[in-house]
Amino acid sequence: MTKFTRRTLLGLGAATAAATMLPGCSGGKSGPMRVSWYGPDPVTKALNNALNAWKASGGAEYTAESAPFDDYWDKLATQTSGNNAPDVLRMSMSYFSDYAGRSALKDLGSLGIDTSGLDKDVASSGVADGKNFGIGQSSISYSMYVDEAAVKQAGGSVPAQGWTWDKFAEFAKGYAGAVQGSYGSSDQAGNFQLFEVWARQHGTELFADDGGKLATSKDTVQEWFQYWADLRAAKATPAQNVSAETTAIEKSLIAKGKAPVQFGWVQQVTFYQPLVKSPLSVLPVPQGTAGDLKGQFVKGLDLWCVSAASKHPEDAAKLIGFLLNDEKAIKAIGILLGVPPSKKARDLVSADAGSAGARAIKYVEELAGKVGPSPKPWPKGYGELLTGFGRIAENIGFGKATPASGATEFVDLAGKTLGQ
Amino acid sequence: MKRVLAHAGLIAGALIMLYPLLWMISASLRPNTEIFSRPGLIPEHPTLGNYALGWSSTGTSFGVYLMNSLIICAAVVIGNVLTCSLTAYAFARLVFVGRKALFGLMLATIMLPAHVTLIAQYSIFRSLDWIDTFWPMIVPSFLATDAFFVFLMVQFIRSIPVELDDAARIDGCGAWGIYRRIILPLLSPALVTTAIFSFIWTWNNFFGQLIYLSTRTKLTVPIALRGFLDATGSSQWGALFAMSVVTLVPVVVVFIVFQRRILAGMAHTGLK
Amino acid sequence: MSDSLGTRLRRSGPAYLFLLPWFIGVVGLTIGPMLLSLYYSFTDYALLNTPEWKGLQNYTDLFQDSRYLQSLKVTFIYVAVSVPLEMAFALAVAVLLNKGLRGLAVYRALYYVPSLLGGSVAIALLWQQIFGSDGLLNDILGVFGIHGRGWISEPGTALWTLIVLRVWQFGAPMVIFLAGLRQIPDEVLEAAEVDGAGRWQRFWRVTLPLLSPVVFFNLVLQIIGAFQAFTPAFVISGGKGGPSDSTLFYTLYLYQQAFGNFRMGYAAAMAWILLLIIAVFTGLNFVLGRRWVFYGDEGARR
Repeated sequence: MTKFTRRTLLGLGAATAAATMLPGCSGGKSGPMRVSWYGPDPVTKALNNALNAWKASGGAEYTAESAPFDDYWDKLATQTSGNNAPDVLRMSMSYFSDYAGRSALKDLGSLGIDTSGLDKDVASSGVADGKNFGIGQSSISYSMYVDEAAVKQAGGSVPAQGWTWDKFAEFAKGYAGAVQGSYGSSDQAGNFQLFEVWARQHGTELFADDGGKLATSKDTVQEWFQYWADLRAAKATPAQNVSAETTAIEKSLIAKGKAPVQFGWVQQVTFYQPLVKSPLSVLPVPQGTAGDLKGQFVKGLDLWCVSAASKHPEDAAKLIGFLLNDEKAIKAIGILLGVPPSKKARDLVSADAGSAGARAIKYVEELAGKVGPSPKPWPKGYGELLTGFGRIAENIGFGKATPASGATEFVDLAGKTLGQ
Repeated sequence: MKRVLAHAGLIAGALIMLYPLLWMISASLRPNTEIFSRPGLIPEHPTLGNYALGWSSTGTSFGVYLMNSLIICAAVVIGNVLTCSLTAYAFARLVFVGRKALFGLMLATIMLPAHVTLIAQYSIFRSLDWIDTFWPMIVPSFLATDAFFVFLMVQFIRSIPVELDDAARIDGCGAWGIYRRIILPLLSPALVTTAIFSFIWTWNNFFGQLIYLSTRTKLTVPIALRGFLDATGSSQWGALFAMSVVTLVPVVVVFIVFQRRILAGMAHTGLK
Repeated sequence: MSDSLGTRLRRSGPAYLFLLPWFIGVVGLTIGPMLLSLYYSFTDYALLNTPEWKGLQNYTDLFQDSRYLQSLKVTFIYVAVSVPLEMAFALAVAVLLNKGLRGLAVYRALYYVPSLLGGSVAIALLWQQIFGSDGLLNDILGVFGIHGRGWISEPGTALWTLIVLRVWQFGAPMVIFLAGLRQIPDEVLEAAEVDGAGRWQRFWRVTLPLLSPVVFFNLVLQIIGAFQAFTPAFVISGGKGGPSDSTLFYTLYLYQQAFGNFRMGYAAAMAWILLLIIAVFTGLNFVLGRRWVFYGDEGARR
């Protein structure tokens, strides 16, 4: 019976698939190369300008498409599944392995993209199984932004290399006590990306190099949740429902003047800065041992990729090379995709010193020699772990779980998602 | 006295209903940073800058998106009114083999969440070479695929006295004649309702248009609106609200014009 | 009565002609993708690979998935509370607006405004401004000395703000009720008045029975719609269903699995279970409906 049902269904499925897909697949009708990316309108504007420069330089014909981050992935999955993926596409490290690991991306190795000027970790950010599936668009590291003026006004000081975790907790509690109605920091318990730094400070990578299983221990996860639970209990960070209401950049505690500290990828400081009156300092995130920045890493987290089914691989590769190396393209893009991935590009765009962007660039350049080795691409299923980690932290914050049970839940989730 | 009370109640209710609209207009007149500072409806530093910014934010005029949405919505309205009424008439009034089973099938098509059929439908439209055109939004409405409207009209047709059909049949009308002369005129409240909903829902429908449309100049209003927000960057809230207000204008006009027709509906029927 | 199938098929000719567009749509666009999704539900399908047969595993996995069970719970509460409230509201306002008061067109438009906004992102922000911990609602409660809470940001109350949202957007069923009311010939009501029926009697004995097909329609479709509710939670919780999964609607979880976690097979299994649930409720509605829905063609068919 089962067999019959199965075969019938398979037959039906195959019939539908055949009926619907044959004409499209066999013809191989190929219009101009398609370029697709995610990002808000300013990114779209900048990339359109860069593409205009490409056209002006005699580059191949193209069409452009773009969508906000969240929508982009629904569309890309549908397009890829429907055998209609764009040729050149922007890829986030969060989903990179989901696509690369399912043969949706092309190996760029033989396509001769000039990456000689790029920071080495960025040029190789998209290497998986010995093949290069994507090239970093920017050099990124995790960071914290501090409203130093506010800290000084409260009688505190900010160490140039940032705090240790212990000192940071002290600072946060002290600040919250000193400034009425304010917190020492926003709650980062659910921040999986910051947790990766914490995990590396605790002796292992977040994920094992071979096969991408969870490498960090349950105890490390539990200590992390406990650290933030303690800060929350001490009112150094807000109650969970306040945290839930302050996730948008515009509503964040730092933008509202209710905390002097925010965490994020380095280039995001440019989004917070317009909302804060005094300049935000960009600092390394807290450390286990003062001054030891080996937990952090510099890497390309947004990549240019070519879809496996592309009919224009050569043009696609040329375009990627152009976006990375051409002066006009570099200037058009500025720091909208993050801190530029080459020395040449950083020098070209960091003209207006004193801006938040310039501080972000300086941060990455100063960090370069001090950070640890950059990790392998995040594994398949990373997106699920990212949201799962946040959800579990939220449950702890609302008292629906404890740091211990939350850590167990997360390790189980990772086991299920990544394989034991 | 009763009238005054009724009006008082209706006005109070209307205020609650209207608050969001006022709030949105107010937000559209505020600079980006003021939107999130404490509420109230009166902007401190009113500005029309958001409208200018939103209108040309991406380098493509917002008018293009409005026009695209209007074209799609108008086509969907026509498609739904035409084909759903044909289908509904058959289900409600005609006798045929497999009626119950087919009716069940029709209802089943709206019971399955669209997310799981999306991929396969995308492949169908791709094989027709319709990706990045308006056809995937328009053609289904000419094939009566929205069972909501079919079922709506079935219910309305079934409350029309069947004696009217019989009378027409005696006058020599066939199935088509009854549909044209009896059913369609008497169905006009439902037809107008269908038109209103088709327009508004298509106007707001986001997912399909996101998946099928790519070229900047072919994008529609809901996609353009979401473009103002992005989780990875700073969002243009002011522009979002300004353009949200702009995009409300056509739907409000459509609603007001068409809902009059609901009321006029009865006057044109032979029942009065 | 017992004509041969051939005869009956021949008589069906005109009906099939009327149904032709719908047939083309169902065969060409709907049935194939539906069946394909049924097939996916028995496979491991990550959207980017070819599906791999897994038998019933997706279905058995579902009932050990605590988030799935949570999404069921959330959805049932939502349906059970919001549908009756929304229906009652829509009907009451429609009846009120069907009277001969001046300026009714204006009220009708005003009452439809919330529904015009649909699932706009503006709604998300507005709802936070109203139901946030320093939102409008708490300001109003504060006047009465009540200390509010973060209605929208606490797991205990977040779902209720979405129920309020649905009830507030009662415009669609209201318009359908209005259209139904307009279809009731005035003569019938006048005749009842002449017979000495009071206002309430006329409503219960004449209006409501004549309106029953439309009430039935709204009930069936609102239940289907509420089971499939997606946009409210998607927009307001930013696609997460938070806080703490308290607004994790069924279809939202389905969407997360399909597109966020690349588990289309699992999502398809969820979709078909939902179809069964909705089919049971709809079937029940049709069975019960025989008792209270009155059609103008009644008798002609039986």
